[in-house]
Parts: sequence; C-alpha cells; structure tokens
Amino acid sequence: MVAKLFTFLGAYVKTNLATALEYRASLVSQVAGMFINDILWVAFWVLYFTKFPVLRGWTLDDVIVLWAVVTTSYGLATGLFANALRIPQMIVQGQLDYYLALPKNVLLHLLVSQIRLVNFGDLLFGPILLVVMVKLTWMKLLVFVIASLLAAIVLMGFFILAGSLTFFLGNADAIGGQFVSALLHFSTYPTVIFDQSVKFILFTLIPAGFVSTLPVELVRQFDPLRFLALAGGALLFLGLGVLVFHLGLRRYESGNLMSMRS
Amino acid sequence: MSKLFLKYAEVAAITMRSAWAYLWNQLLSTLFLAVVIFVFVQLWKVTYAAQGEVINGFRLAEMIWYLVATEGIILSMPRVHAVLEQEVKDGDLALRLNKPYSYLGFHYASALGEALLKLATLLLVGGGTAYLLVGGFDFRWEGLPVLLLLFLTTHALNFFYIATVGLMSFWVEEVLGLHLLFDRLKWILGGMLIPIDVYPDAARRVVEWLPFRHMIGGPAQLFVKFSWTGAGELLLNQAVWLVIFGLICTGVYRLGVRRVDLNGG
Repeated sequence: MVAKLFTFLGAYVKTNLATALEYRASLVSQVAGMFINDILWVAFWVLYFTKFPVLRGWTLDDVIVLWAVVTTSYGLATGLFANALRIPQMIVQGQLDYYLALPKNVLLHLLVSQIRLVNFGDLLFGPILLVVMVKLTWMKLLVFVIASLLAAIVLMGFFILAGSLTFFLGNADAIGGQFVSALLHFSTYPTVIFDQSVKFILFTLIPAGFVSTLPVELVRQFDPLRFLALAGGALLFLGLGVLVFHLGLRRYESGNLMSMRS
Repeated sequence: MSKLFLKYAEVAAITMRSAWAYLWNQLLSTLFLAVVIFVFVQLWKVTYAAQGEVINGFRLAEMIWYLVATEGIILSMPRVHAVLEQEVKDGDLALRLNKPYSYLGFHYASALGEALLKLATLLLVGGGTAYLLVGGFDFRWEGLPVLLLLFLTTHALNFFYIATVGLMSFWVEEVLGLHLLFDRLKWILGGMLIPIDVYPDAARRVVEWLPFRHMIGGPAQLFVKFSWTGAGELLLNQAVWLVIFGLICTGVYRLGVRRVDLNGG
C-alpha cells in the first residue's frame, strides 16, 4: 500500500520535473528570481539586526533559521504540490471531474499533478541560507530537516482547509487567499513581537507559530515537548484539511465546462 | 502638443474608469496591506520600546507612515511586465502597432490610470490602519501638490524600469524570473522596508549612487518629512534617471520590435 503510494508520487514528480527541464532557461530564471526575492527579506533582517542586535531575545541567527524553515517548507508544500493553492479555482471551474473519474484518491492526485517552478527557488534557498549563515551541528541540521517537513505539512493542511471552504461558501477564493497570505506573512516574523491574544491566534486560526517559532526553538535547543507540539499541529491541520475536503467533496457539483488538462 | 497630451490623458481616464468598475474587488485585494502594516507596527513598537522615541530622526508614527508610502508606490504599479510579455507572446502587440499612438506611450498612460486608483485604495486601507494603530504624523499640507507631481515622476521611473524587463520577452520565453530579480533588487536598494537613513553607513554609501532610492525611499521620505530643498533635489535626480531609463526602454523596444513577423490577418 505504502510502496504503491510512493511509486505513484514518484512517477508524478519525475514526469513533472522532466516537463520542467524542457524549459531550462525559464526554470533557471524563475528559481534565481525567487532566490533574489528571498534574499530581499533576509537582507532586511540583516540590516535590522546590524542596527538593533537583539529583538526580545531573538538574534539574527534565529531569524535566519526562521527564514530557512519557512522557505523550505513553503517550497515543499507549493513547489511539489502546486495545486494546494489552486483548490478553490479547481472547484469553481469544475476541474475536479478529471480526478473523480480516476481510481486514485482525489485529493492526493490533484495535489501531486502539478509543480510550480518558481517555488523550487524557495526549496533551494532555505537549506543554502542555513548552511551559509548559521553555525550548525549535525543534530541541528537533522532537527531542521524534520521541523521543515512538519512545517510543510502544517502549511499543506492549512492550504487544503482554506481552499475547501469553497465547497461550502461558493467562490471563497478571495477569503481563502487572504487567510493564506496572512499565514505566510505572520510566519516570517518572530511571534515574540506579538501580544498574547495575537499569539493565541497564531497557534490556532492562522497557525503561523507552527511554521515559524516552534521550529526555530527546536533548532536552537531540542525539546521533546515542543517537538510533540509541532508534530501534533502538523497532524491536526493535515487531518482537518483532509476531513473538510472530503466532506466538501460530497457537495461538489460538476459543471458542463469543457477544459483541457495540460 | 496639447492634442498629444489629451490623447494619452484619455487613455489614462478610460483605464481608470475601467478599474473603477471593480473598485470593491480592488479594495478587497488591498485588505492584506492592513496585515502588513499591523505586523510592522508590532515589530517597530518593540524596537522603539527598546531604543527610545527617535531612531535616525524617525518617530514610530513616521516610520509606519513611511512604510504606507513605500507600499503605496510599489503596490500601485500595475503588472506592466506581465501585460507586455503576454502581448509579445500572443502577438497582440501587432494589433497595437498600426494604431495612432506610441506603443510605450499607450501602456504608460494605461498604467498611470490604473495606478492612480490603486494608490487611492492603498492609502485608504494602509493609511487607515496606520492611523488606527499609531495615529497621524505632522503632514505638511503645503507640500501636497509637489508630492502629487512626485508620484507622477516616480511612477514614470518605475514604469520604464519594469517595462524594460517586460520587453525582454522579445528574447526570452518567460520574464517572471527576470522581473523578480530586478524588482526585488529595487526593493532592497530602494529602501522599501527601512528608510535609507537607517541603513548602516557602508550600505548607505552604495545605495546613494544608485537610482533605486529615487524610485521608492526618496519620495516616501518626503511624504513623512517634507522639505522644499529635498523635493527639488529629488525631482532633479528623477529627471536625470528618467532620461536614462526612458532611452534604455525605447532602445530595447525598437530592437525588439524588429524581431516581430506579421503574417496574415
């Protein structure tokens, strides 16, 4: 069962990458562009910490780890599973018909069926940033990899959850989009700058704390309780996303829109 | 001359009317700016609490309103590169070549019309959020006409810069990567997130030689700390760079358009 699943995922990733490599110039320019985009934000923090070395106990190293985790996890969630952010559009345009007719899990199939080249830049940027700018041990590197994977699952779960609102609310693209943008924006700042009520929101309604603060604290010093909290958060948001998607799928109505899947 | 001006003014007015029809959509998509401002207020509140009331001449409210201005300049700029890329790829460019207007002039006027309305909504949402969170600042109303003129020159500079990137689609299949590269370079070196005065000395010395501060940070700084001499200096610098960017953009367009083959109808 698991082996079959990995064969299926592997086949899709391989085909998608082969397609991407057909347009090498485009691939390189998009990846380089995203690299520069990420460098901008890191440059902002470097400028900031050059001027103000400590921010409520956080140093430049912490923010670098934060950016490494956020870009790696976002790159994973949207680079390899690009349709995670297109769920509302696919529901509204009746594009789920294609997946419903095939003998694979609908959600899994739609997630893996498209990659987004530009986010490969994020996926590369995170680990490179970490290795270049932070003094690492093998233990810290291992924690970083696991924490990034768990953060990617949190993001993926949230994208599916926000996207699935369209099943219930009609065209919820704008609302879902605002939530997704808010999650990403809050994820790129240390939660120490917010007061308690905002922090509560960042570990519940907009789970940015699971993507930013918890991984950074784990890389700084491993703590089993924090690790369980992060793993629990990943499980919870992915579970919620999958549950709401499948509940919503029962309400899905196919349209008569004819479309080519490219 | 006045006829020429009226022609492009009409293009700008048509685009603005068209954008006005989607005003609510525009406002909704601008709401995210409220989140950006909120997060920045939290960051700078913590910073000011640790550093004192004034940082490099900026008080908290001025720092936040500076960000409102930089976001207004950047986000009001339509996605000109994408429009040009699409027209070159789809061949729609050919439909515009036989029209009685300059191709770049048409797109400039069109982008300006859209930008003016976008700026209004951005200032409404961003300014409203900033006002609620940190209050107002000592705005010099007598400088308002000059600030409006500065918006036009700043928009023109940014237009030629980004249109040049869009026109690269004559040679490359996709300009998204190039756009990210050039646009973010402008952000980093233009003082988008922090006023250039707050940059460390070495970085500031480099930035002062480049055009980017005249495209973002300079106008934003005048918005919160207006001075007649500052405005004069900025306009002079912008004029020089406008000539350079304008020449480069027109040159790239002329080289590119030679590569267009028109077939049939």
